[in-house]
Amino acid sequence: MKNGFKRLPDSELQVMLIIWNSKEPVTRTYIEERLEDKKLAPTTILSFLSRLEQKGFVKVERIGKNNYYSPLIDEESYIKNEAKTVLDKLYKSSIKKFVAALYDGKELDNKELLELRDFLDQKIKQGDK
Amino acid sequence: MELFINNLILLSVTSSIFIVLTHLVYSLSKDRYTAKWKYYIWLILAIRLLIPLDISIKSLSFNVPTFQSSTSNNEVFIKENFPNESLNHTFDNLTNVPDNNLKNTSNQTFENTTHKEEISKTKKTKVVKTLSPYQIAFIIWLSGILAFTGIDIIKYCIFKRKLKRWSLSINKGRYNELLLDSLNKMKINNPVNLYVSKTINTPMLAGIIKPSIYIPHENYSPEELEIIIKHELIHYKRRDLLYKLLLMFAKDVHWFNPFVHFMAIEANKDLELICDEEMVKNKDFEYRERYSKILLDSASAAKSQVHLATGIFGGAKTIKRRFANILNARQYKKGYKFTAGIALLLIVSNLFVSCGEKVGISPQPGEINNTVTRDLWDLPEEDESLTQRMALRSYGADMPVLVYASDKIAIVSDYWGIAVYDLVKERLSRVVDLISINMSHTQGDLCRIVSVNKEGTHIIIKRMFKNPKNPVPTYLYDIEKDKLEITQQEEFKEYPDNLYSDDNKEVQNLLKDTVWGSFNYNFAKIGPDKWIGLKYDVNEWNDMRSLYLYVFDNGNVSKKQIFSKYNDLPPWPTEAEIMESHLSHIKGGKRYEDHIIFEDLTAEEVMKKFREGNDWTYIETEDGMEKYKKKIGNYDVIIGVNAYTDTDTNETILYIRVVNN
Repeated sequence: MKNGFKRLPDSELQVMLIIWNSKEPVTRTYIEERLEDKKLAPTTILSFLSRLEQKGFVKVERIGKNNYYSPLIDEESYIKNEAKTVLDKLYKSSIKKFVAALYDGKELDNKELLELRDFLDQKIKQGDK
Repeated sequence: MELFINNLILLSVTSSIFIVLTHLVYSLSKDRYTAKWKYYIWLILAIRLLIPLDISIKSLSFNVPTFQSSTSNNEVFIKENFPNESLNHTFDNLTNVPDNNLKNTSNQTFENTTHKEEISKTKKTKVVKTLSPYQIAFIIWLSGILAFTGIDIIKYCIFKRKLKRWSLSINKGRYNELLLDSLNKMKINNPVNLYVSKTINTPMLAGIIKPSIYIPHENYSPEELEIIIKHELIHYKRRDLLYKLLLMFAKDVHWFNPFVHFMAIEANKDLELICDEEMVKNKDFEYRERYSKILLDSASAAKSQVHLATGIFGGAKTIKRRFANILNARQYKKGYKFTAGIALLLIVSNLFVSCGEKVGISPQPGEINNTVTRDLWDLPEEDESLTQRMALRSYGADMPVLVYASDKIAIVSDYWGIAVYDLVKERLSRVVDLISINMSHTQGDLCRIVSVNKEGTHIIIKRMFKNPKNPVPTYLYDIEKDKLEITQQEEFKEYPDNLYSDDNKEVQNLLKDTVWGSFNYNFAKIGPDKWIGLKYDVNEWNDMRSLYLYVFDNGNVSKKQIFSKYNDLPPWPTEAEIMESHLSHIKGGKRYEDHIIFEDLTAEEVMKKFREGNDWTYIETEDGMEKYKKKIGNYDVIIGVNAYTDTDTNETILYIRVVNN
């Protein structure tokens, strides 16, 4: 943890994912709606939010009657911090075995991608004829 | 064990041949045929590859005694501080095994050549008291399965847990509506959830129990998303994740076979090809083009972050094949004739394999080279438990009798059942329980008859008196197969005619001064001047101590022990000994072997004399007899004690009886 981020528990990360996912600051009700299938009590969500605030992940703004939450740490850096190292390797080996992915082939380098693009263009041209 | 490993390898090798064959046919035909036909071949092969698990249960239970005894051998081996020589020996054998088997199976001369070598090796290793190479191979195979499966399961669990942690459910909005639309269109009634996760780089369907669609971001155009969702839902409908799982397990079980690994990889690729075909079926070129581009985007997104020197692995080859597959408007042929052809070959070869199994299972390895002409009495290795089973039986009022004897075997029948003794190998070969089939009565209305045919191969066990109200089946026991079954056959054509009782003149001449019991049919004439007799040693309380076969050969007498319960132990104490050494606390009275006589005392007073100061433990009172227990030597001796007054003589008698059992 070079940046010193705290690893968030699953429930708090879910809330963070919602906040990151939205382009604008969000309200508690918005989060509640997106967490629909989890059916959490408003107080529970509020306590998640206050913990996230304490940890420095979100900031709260009071506009009118509502609190609006926006991220202080961006998603990319948090993912890099926690996930990338461990997850990447794991995903790579798991994709072929356990999931049906749209593309489950090898990671291609730039040269190969270019070659593929040419190949596809050529094929498309052939098809157009 | 040997057989199981052989079958496993045979299965793996034949499957490999089919994997290669299938791939060969595919490579030659891929310009004209789709990959669809392969899908079924992989499926059949995967299922077939997983069946040995089933067989293993059978052959394992079959070999349990062998395996156990070898385990104890192993213990001995450990105690012997691992002699270097034997250790090397073991490993030499181990490395030889797969090679030999591969050669064997491929040219189908399984039984004759290397099999013998294997056996001799097995024997050698047994001499040095270690595991046979087959057992080592089995253990390695099993550990491999555990390792491969374990790693896969752990990987999956971690993967699933991480994926879930980083996924946000999309249950509202445009994307969700699109998903519901597609579900409707494709007539899928179960809800499939949609998640977005920034940690993945390509859309996927994941979850064995409840598959869900995961996408890496929400920047897809509706057209793009529709294609992606449709692609994943095709996988969902086809249950491709289960297919993958099946192949994974096949691979985990045959982890040592690179062809099966290859098959798993190929099958995964085929799933995508088939899915692509479904996607573009009846679609125009524009759609195909769009789909290809999404695929390319996906491949670009999967571009490695760390620059690796690739290209040599031909990573682009698979996707090129997919592009060609998608864009080629011309319909490829399905090629189901390939499926049918290869499947047929597979069935034929399987029959072949299972025939091999059948031939292989019945004979015991190491004894038989030729199943047809082998010696009838090659019965299994001596089993300690057989002797124990026989020794621990309850012997009824009628003592054991010899019901059959030849120069090869002797068959003894007793209340609890039948025992077959191998005279050549000098060991007990069969012990058949008759109590469990309610054929244990040797007297009375339920009396049974045990008769052996003249060849000594089969035994009929039947009730002497048939009761129409309560019919009891007649049983036929096949000694060689160790199989007891209900039969309609009531009689044999010929019975042995060489059995005599000890009132026979020849027998009496044979015995001369030897004292024998007065039971019938205890002698058999097995040669011109060769006799066999059954001798038993029974205690006063019907406890069978030992059973011997005596062979009288031209004046020489030899003894073969069927069992001896207290071989080197002192004999049971008799009542007289007990009276003398263990009841000395009783003062007065006139002592006899098993009773003491008192004058002018009541029964109660005599019992009091016994109870006072004795070192016996009281157990219970049964029918006026008090039972006491005491450990004498190696035995827990139970005695029954009672006293009664003879009114004529006015004497009171204290009786002692040993009542064990």
